[in-house]
Amino acid sequence: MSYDVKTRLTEVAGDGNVLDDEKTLEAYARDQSFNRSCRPGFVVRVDTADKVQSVVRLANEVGMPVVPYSSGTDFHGGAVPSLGGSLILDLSPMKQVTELDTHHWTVTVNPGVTFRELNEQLAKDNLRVQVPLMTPPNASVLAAYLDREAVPGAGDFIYGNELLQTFRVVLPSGEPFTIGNPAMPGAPHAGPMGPALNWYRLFMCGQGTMGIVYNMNIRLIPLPKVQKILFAAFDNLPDAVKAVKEVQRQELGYECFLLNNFNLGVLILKEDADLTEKLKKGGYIGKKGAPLWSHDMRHAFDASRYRLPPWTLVLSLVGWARQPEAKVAYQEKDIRALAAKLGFEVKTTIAGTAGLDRIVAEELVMPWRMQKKFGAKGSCHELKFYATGDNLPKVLAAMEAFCARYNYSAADIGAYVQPVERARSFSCCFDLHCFPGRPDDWENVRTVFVEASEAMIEAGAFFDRPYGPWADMMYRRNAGYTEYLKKIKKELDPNGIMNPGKLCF
Amino acid sequence: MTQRDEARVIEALAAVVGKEWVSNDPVVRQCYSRDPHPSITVRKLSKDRLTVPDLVVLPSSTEEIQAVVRIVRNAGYHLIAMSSGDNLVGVCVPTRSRTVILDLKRMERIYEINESDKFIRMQPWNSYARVQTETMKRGLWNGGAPAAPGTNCVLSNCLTFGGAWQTAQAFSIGARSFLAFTIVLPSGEIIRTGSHGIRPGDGTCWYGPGPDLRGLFEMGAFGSLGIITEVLFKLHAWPGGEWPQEEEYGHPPVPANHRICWYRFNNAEDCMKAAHEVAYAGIGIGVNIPLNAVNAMAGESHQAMTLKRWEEGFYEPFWMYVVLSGYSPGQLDYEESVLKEIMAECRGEPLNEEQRRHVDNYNNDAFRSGDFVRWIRHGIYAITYLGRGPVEDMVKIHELNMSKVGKYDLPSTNKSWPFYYSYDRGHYWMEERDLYGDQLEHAELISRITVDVFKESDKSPSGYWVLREPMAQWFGKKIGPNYAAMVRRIKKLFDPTDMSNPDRLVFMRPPEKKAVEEARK
Repeated sequence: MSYDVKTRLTEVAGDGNVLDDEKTLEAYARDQSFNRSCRPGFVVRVDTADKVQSVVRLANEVGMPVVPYSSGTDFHGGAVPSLGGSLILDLSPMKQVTELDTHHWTVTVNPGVTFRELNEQLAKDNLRVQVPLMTPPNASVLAAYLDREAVPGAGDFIYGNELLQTFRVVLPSGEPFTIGNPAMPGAPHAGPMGPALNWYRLFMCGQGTMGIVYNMNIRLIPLPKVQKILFAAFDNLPDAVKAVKEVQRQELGYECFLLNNFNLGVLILKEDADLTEKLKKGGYIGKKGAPLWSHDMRHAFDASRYRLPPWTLVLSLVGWARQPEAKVAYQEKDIRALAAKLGFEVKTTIAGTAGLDRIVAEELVMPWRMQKKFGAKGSCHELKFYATGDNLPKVLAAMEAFCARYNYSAADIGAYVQPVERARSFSCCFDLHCFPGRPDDWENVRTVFVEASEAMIEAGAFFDRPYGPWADMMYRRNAGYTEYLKKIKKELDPNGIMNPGKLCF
Repeated sequence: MTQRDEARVIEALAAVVGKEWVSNDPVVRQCYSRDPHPSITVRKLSKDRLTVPDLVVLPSSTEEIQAVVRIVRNAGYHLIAMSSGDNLVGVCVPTRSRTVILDLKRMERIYEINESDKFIRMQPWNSYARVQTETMKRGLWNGGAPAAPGTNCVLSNCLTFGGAWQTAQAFSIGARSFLAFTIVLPSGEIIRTGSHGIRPGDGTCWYGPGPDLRGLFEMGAFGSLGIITEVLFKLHAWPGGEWPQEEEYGHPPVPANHRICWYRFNNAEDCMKAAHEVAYAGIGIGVNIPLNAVNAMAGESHQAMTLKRWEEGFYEPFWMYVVLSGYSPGQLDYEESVLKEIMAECRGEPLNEEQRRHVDNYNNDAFRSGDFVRWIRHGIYAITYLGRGPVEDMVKIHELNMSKVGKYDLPSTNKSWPFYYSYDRGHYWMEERDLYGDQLEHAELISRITVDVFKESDKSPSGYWVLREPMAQWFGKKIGPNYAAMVRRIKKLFDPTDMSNPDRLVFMRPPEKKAVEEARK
């Protein structure tokens, strides 16, 4: 049967695009997460929607699980099969960028288009796609947006949220389905709502379990004409959160976020020369983690991190086409007045770090420096969740308690806190680091990861993307919702071929 | 159904909600059979008895609705949930025999206004007027008002129309502000969405977990997949302070820290260019070009004056209002300066003093619905077209629409330009075309035009909120690919007996259509 399937897959995908050699299968069997590795049966590379449809139809026919794969940079096991012998549907050859509309700031991308590729292309037209701060440059734009990754501008209700407009899906049956206006032939792209129901939410954050999104129209923003990066230092998280909430309430600045001293230390850490290109292009983080920092990098990091304040607020004031200087000027005046009222100081750098504003400005357009965090111990495990401002300190305390229990230094927690929708809530990424080559450390940090997650949920964390161990934690707390998710999954995917074993399926 | 069957159902319902909250009184039932939408008027004129429900029940809690749903389903009735009943699109008027209206007006509790995390948690029936009053006291607001009466229910307005707010430039479509729902499904089961699902009342997150089911209950579902019994709704900071007193009727002041700037244009090209530039400049919370017919109605206190000034051409097309909101004088000055720069480039002229006085109602209604109820004063009223797309496309759609509308003998106010609202800082615009009639036979005409307009528009929107009679049957077939099949599958999954507001999701044509037709005869 295997031979027949391969032959038929080759007929669909073309010669050289169906791979089942040991080396390739092993490469797709794992990522750097705690999820167990699992070898697929085939890797099929496709470059058109028709081929996606044909492969999915064939998979239904032969009952073979399909795991969609775009860039392989989610690091949470989403593109690693849960069942042996699965078919990895590699969408990375789908690199079409179409419908660039410089007048309305939109573009359509396929899953293989990376942030770096797209931003290089858009810069010619003075536009950019907003990149999540912790995302590698070689990550798929479509996959990140479908996965609800928050961007540094997420504090802005409009410019930083719901950045996907419309998209096209191959359903588990192999049939096409369209989200938003283009479902009506000839209609222009607009918001993602409709037709009739707000379908788009059903396909987001599903890791390909409800269908394969192969084409997405997204919103862009212009490159800044005038920009000023400001900072504020805080001794503790509650004070930092309070300041962010007030800044957001007055709608000051555009990009706005908090970093703890571990992550700010990573951001300003000067890498070894041979790493720069790899970081900028992507590919620094491999299937088993990243190369450990050199002695010089480790030394520099340790020397700087404790000079940095526990928490730093980063705020970017941006002026676009119209009277940009005047906009930045009034915003700076207002933020300084607010800071004086609340009792914090607005600075142009932190701990005397030269060029910090330039580093941040570059990262906001095309982040690459934060990937260095993976080299602190070789493996980094991100806990991505939402929490309200009031609950956030409690969530951090819950995590720190488990770190203490398992002798993991709280100083080695990396933290990025992103206000969303004027700080109504916060999208957070707390990191645990471990040495992948040391089984005891790996197991110990994995235990912290799992046990702390439970405690964090109790303290107010909400893992909206319930991958890996979070799936059971989240879905058992909402049984009624989960039952209907399963019913819909069964209705759309009666053969259970779409990325089985993920989420609650 | 025998009278005995009905008596049993009434008894069971009364045991749940109390006997004073169940009625089969013909006078009461008649009240639930009406709607200004012309399709309903046509049905009433043709003596369609199916417009009149068999029973009306008013529950007060999620638990009562669960019990009601189970009783209704087991008795083989249909169930239509309604709140304010002023949706104007006829989606709460029965289409079948054996229909129970679930009137939610007793469900008006506000459980919480969370000032720190900016959301309100409430039962389904709460009006814009009430929500705005309660939240503005606390320095918050919901982010906008539709051009509609303040009695409009926030939840159902956003479900039916998406929430077409005049401040959608900054606060998007109203449905974007849904944070979470509690839903009673046609099975009687309950589901809760987002973080509210794992901790009731928690507004931390408005997604998932994982794939998000909430979208299936929004917009065009009209209660056909379940009944929303609790909603968490996002709020925004309100810099306007205490609401100002209206010293002179019809001329309310603009709230503090806000400015409403009006401009007129001599042609569509300049107007649309300015609209795009303002929206994409990132200034203002509202950028809108109202129907000039609506200005004639909203700007005058009675119909005779409306028609006089309309005929005189006082209310020109291409008046634009931009709502500026600021947290500091610096912000307001900056935004007004940018606005003036754009208007100078696009030949926009400020309205003169007399013109400006006639649109003073917007000083109030741009934020809190008030006198906009005037715009249904013709009697027959239909929202005919709600297009979405770039503002530049809208002129073409208007011309196409007018080529249809102009063929019919309707009041001259129908020769108006539509209402254009900027959404999401101009990423798309909504075009709202309304038709008016003052004779009963206009209802039939307008119903026909509505279908014609949709059929002819090659730039039709997906029309996510308009899948209703009479255009729905045509519209649904045109959407693709696999749209009809997906809707059927989802409907069948949640509501296999087609109990909950049948016929609203277009493809769920009545299985007993023939029987219904016969009943109509």
